[in-house]
Amino acid sequence: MKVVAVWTIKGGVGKTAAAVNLACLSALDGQRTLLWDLDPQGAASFYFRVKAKVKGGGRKLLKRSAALQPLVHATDIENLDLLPADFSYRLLDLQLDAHKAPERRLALKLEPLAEEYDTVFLDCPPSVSLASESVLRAADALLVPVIPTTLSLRGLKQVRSFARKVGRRGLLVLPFLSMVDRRKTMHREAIERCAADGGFLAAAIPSASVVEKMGVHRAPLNAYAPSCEAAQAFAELWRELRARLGTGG
Amino acid sequence: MPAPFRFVITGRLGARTVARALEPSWRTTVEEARPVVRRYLDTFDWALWRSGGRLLVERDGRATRLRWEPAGGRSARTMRLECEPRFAADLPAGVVRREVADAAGERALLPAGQAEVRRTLVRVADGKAKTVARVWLETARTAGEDAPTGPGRRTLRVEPLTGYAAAGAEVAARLAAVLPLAPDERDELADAAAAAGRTPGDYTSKVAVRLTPGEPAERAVRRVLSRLLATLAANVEGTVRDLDTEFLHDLRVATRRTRTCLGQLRGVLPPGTVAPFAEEFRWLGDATRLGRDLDVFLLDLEAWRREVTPAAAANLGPLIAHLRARREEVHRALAGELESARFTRLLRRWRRVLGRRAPGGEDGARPIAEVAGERTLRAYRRLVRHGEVLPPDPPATAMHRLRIDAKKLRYLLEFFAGLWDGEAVAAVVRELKAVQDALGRYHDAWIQSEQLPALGDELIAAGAGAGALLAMGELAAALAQRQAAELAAFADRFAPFAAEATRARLVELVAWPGGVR
Repeated sequence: MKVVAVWTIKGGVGKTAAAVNLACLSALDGQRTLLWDLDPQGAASFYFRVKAKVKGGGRKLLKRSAALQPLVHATDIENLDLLPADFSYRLLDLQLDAHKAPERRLALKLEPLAEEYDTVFLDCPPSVSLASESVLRAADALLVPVIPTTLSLRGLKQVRSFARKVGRRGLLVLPFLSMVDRRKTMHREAIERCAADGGFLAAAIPSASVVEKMGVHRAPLNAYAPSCEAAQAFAELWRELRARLGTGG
Repeated sequence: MPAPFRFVITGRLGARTVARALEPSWRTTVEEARPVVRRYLDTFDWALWRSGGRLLVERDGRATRLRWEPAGGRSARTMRLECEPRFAADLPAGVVRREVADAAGERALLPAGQAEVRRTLVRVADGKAKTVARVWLETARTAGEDAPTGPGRRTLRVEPLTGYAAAGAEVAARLAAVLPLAPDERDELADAAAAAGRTPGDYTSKVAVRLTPGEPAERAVRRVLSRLLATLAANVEGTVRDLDTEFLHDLRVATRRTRTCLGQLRGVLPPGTVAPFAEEFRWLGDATRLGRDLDVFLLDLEAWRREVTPAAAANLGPLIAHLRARREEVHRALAGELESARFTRLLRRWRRVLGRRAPGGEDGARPIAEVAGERTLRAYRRLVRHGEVLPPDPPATAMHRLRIDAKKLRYLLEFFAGLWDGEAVAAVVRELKAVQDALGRYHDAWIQSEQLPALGDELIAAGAGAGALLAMGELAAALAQRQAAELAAFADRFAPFAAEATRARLVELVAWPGGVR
């Protein structure tokens, strides 16, 4: 089982869109896939029409004796399950801190799912906290959406440094361009800087209203616009990610 | 996913009626009826069926999808495929491949039956348009080689989604209450297999013959031999078509068992009848040996390649390619032998001899339990005798002879296990198997290391580079190491097996009124 976290410090950069669409593509590939919505806003849960509510909330879920499997809901896409968000996740840091070795807690919770799933995506809220530390200890790969702007690139620097400090050994840090608007000079210049960086995945997700409409359709792109440019870009991103994870195809 | 609810449709029923029965409590969407060709895949020996799983490939003209239904009502998994997998290893990496491979091993995934299905999906959603269950209406016509037969069987299946078990159960209960449905207990795989002339579980390489202790030995041995002949014949086509390596393996085991039966149970059948066949089965054993040796070599090399560094693995490429090419040649020759008049004649005559009522040999009228006990103890004593005189650094030929002795004992125990206390036989077989495993691995390493110098010459002649030869050197060292390790393992396991306690246990196990010593 491979665990992929989609996280960055900055908000509004397309984390949830990436997590939802990549999880969908993974499932369509035949991989048993779980998307864990760790963001108290519950956007991923909303996209899949699943109530953002977990019985007992984050406090109960983090207990050693509480299994995650009974909380899982199937989405309308075969092979793709969702562990919904809960508003109590806003207090995840405090709830983690109540346990021994809090930074290892999420990895511990995921362990029993290894026989059930091939890939787990973690849709994480934007913050630097104990919860992010626990995410980085659980993940095999960290996908970092980066808008081609100065602030976003600065954020990537901070993410890399944080991942080096607290991430598990061998954690793949994989930035990719998100919400790209090639009409903007600043975006085009930043894209060049990213190309020079060498660590970016090649796929770039365009800024497109069709992506924003996921909230209207309440479904991943593949369900309503599988041939649009953005859907193709996510497909390319998934192919690259799959190759980097070594899960074949 | 909770277990589905299965019904057989007992009256007129369409998708719209199903939808109407669920509204307005649920929102429903009917998806167009679509013809699907459903093909069940399993190994020749039904390994997936035995594990409780079902593997099926569905083609609907637009896409090919694979569905794995694991044992124990766990979640079914589906995936799109470019083409049908031939082996578990052809599946994309993941849980499905792992579970299918655990059950099927190296065996090919062969068509086990087919059904032509016309199906309609009714999606059942809650008030927020979230799907909570899927209802499938199907008309399935199982098909043989040619045209589908019969009017088709109509079924309805309610699949609750994970996290919505209660809603799924409610949907099933509502439909069962108002529609012409009855619980469906039939196994579609069995129906599909029957149309193709097979029954799940109809092949096993085990010698499963029910014998009675007082049965005349001649009749019992004929029955065992008939069963072995059936196993041998069942594996001919798969060997000739080279479907997977286990066909040849099972064919060779059936041949060796036949030879053991003829050799170890001398006097039961008339000697004049048996002698020419013993010679012919020896020929068959010789004709198939090289093919099996190459199969084992290649399987071992593939396993070994996974253990070494990527660079060393790449250097093994030329050797593996060379062995594969050689295997192709050997296999063509082997297929020729299995299609020859000599082989066809052997099977035909042997079948006739076994089916004919004829007087037995001098031991033919004795109770089988008495003869079986006597010969089994004799085989045990011979194995112990040969094992105990081995020098500290025994020649490989002596180990080989011991391996043959062990096989003979194993086969006798398996032929006649039903006459004795099953659990006690299984315990002895387990200990013997541990001895055999060490002997087998020692033997394979010996045979392979013996071949390496000639293979090296051939590779040089074919222009192989230094890397390939260095890899062979590493392989030679590993094989020598394995031989030494297996020799030590053999010594550890043989000592308790040869001990007086085991002999006494065996004597008691096979005792027959009147005494077998």
